Amino acid sequence: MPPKPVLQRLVHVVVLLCVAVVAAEFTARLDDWWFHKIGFWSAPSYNDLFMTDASGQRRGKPEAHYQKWQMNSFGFRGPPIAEHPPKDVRRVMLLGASETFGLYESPQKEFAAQLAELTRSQNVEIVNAALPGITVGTLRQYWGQWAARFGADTVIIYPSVHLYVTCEDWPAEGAAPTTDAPEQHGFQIEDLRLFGRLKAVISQPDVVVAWRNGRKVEQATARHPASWVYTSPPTACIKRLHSDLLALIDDIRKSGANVIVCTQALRAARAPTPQDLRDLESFRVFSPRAPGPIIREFVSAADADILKLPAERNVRVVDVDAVLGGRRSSFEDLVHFNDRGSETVATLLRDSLVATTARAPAGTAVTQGSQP
Amino acid sequence: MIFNSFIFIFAFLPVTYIVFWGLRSAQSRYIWLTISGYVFYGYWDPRFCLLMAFSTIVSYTAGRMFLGEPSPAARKWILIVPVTIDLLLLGFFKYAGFAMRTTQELFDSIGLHTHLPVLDIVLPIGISFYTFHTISYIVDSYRGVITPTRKFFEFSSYVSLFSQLVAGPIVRFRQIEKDLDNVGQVNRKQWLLLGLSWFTWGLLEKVLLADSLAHYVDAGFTHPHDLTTLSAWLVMLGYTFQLYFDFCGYSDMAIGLGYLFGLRIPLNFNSPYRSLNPSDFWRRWHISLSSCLRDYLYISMGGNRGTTFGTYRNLFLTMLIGGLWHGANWTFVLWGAYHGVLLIAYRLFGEQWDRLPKAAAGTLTFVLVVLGWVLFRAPTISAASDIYASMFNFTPGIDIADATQLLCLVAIAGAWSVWGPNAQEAHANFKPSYGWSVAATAVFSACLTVMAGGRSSPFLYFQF
Repeated sequence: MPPKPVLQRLVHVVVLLCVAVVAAEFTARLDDWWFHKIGFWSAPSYNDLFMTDASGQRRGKPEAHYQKWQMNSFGFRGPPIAEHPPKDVRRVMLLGASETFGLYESPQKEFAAQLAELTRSQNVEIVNAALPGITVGTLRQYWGQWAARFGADTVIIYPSVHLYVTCEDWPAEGAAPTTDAPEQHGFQIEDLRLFGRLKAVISQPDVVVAWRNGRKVEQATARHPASWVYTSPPTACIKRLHSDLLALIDDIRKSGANVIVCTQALRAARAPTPQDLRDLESFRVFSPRAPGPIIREFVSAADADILKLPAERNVRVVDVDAVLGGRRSSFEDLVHFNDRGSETVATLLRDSLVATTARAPAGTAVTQGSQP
Repeated sequence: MIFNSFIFIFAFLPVTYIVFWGLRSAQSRYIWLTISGYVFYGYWDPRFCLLMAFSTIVSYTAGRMFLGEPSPAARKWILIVPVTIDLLLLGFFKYAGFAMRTTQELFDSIGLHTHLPVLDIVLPIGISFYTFHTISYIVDSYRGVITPTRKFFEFSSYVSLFSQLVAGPIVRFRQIEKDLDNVGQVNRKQWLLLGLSWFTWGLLEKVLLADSLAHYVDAGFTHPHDLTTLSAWLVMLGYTFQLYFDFCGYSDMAIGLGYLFGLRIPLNFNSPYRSLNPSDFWRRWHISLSSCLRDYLYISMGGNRGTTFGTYRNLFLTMLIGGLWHGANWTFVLWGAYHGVLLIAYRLFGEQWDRLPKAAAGTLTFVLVVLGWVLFRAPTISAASDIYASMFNFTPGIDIADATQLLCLVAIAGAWSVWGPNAQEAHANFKPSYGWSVAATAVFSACLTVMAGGRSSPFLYFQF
């Protein structure tokens, strides 16, 4: 038996640890309830932000909240809107995946929110209609069944080009893995909000993440012959992306809206540095078939096709990759922006919106913009 | 690195503490405190360390020269040269851009189309505070209030002491000299618990109160000209308490950190919103600054030893310079002037003021202070005008999101700041108990949880 004071101390420490955990959990719930209007007793998760409606269409869940994400009554991230834009207000809708929805930015710093702030005095209303993990092909369906009814004057498309790199493995038309959303695997421990917050603070070292991702890629490639792995960007997928994009543009145009398309920017430069290559290789966990450099080449090739859109469809293109590609300080991971990157994108889009209002001739419809 | 960051709480502070108490000699502890101060400071930008080192060497050298019993004329030069160097550094980094902008505006207004260069100088964080430390050391040495130290690292640890380095309190050498001389001689366990308690108290004020208020206040200030009257007042009240709990919280944390290392840092806030008149307010708000302004500026200008007009002039100029010390912006100059006028008005009508019932005097003082904070918060004079217009041109309704939540927080913060205990009162008879350890653990854990939620923000006074 240890002497009594030691036992007492031990009990004291255990009690204090319990107090710390209870206080942390209570505070997390109170904080969520007070600032994010999340029920004190509920067990929210990221997946609660989305739903599948009666027609089978996946979309944002009306009035859903989770941590910093807050959906309005139509299930779009951002402030409340009316179904039809008020008179004299130009509604601009943003379509895209998690890069547009906003993952890592501080609250109100995703580029849709920053664009809304930049255009506040110009009677422009920004609607962030993005859905994490959505491909351009699925966006078409989403537009037709849901987003088109909101009377947008202009639609900005920020396509997640990189999702198409494995399009040859997609099981069905338009279906794509939701690779770029936060972990959505029924993470039970997050029922304790304390763990959710700890996760936000304690990040795994890059070395560990790279090692884990490397193992997953090894396991995935081991199931296939060596020829399964791409040695050059799959041109069929680039073509498929392009045709999906053209079809989406045509659909949107039918509603009378202007279309602006962005190229996708990556943290890795077009000529990747060794650090970029490590990033790309780590990201390969989402597309084991495409080695890191191939992902970059694929996005560059697809972006080059997007730059041809002004000639093909007379739409305005914002070359985000030309401005932000390779600028590491603007990204949180390979594809997702941080506050700074989003600020740059918002500024580029603002400039493009101004130019769209001015009805610039089609031949000059590629914007590279400048750093804000 | 800021106090309310995980890297500070879980890495910097434990390492600094353990090594400090593991060292045996006073000299090694001075050196360690100096190193940790430079690491803490260099975390923002290592280049700033050179500036602080230069200022430290200049002031230390001046102190050593005073020890050589120079002639009165030489003493004056030993005072003037280093103080001028310190002020020039402060002037260049903090005010040169402002001076150029103002001159350009002046030229433009009189039709002189000269284009002066635009100076984009990065303001080294905390320069206003450590410059005050070094100047006070030189002046006190000159006046014979202190005996300058011969130990370089004792002095450098004083200047670079991380607990009060970037946002105060402004600790004068004489206030901490004895503790530095006896560094490491205190009852470590007792002071550890006291220090942790103060630190947790400050963290609570900063993270749970100030940052919660900031969430609503910052949103309210995004478009101040659009606010209705009630909204503008509510946002200003929110800012009034945010500023207090932010800065007071920082100061209380600094005091707590001082205790951890056996150093008693003086109180910086004594429930200022309990003040009954403007003079009382300045005895309770940022005490270390107001006492420095009194001792090194007001008294140096003659204080109240001359004519009545001279006293008022000295008072006004002191507050004007005090305002400018806060930032290179006309809003701060106006804020200083406003408080100068309030202090003069109190001197003129003090008898009548003091005859007011306590509640009326307290409310009047509080409202006047809140009106002053408009100038303090607004980025420009025009923005301040917008806020004043929103506050005084009546428009009905409340148009800010979550006004009820803000109102609740303002009520809690207001009640606490006026009727609740401040850190000193709460620790007056500090005796660590089981209940205390449970409460402190719960509060500390709650603060960390909020910080992990990403709602924590830097201290407002860092910009000064």
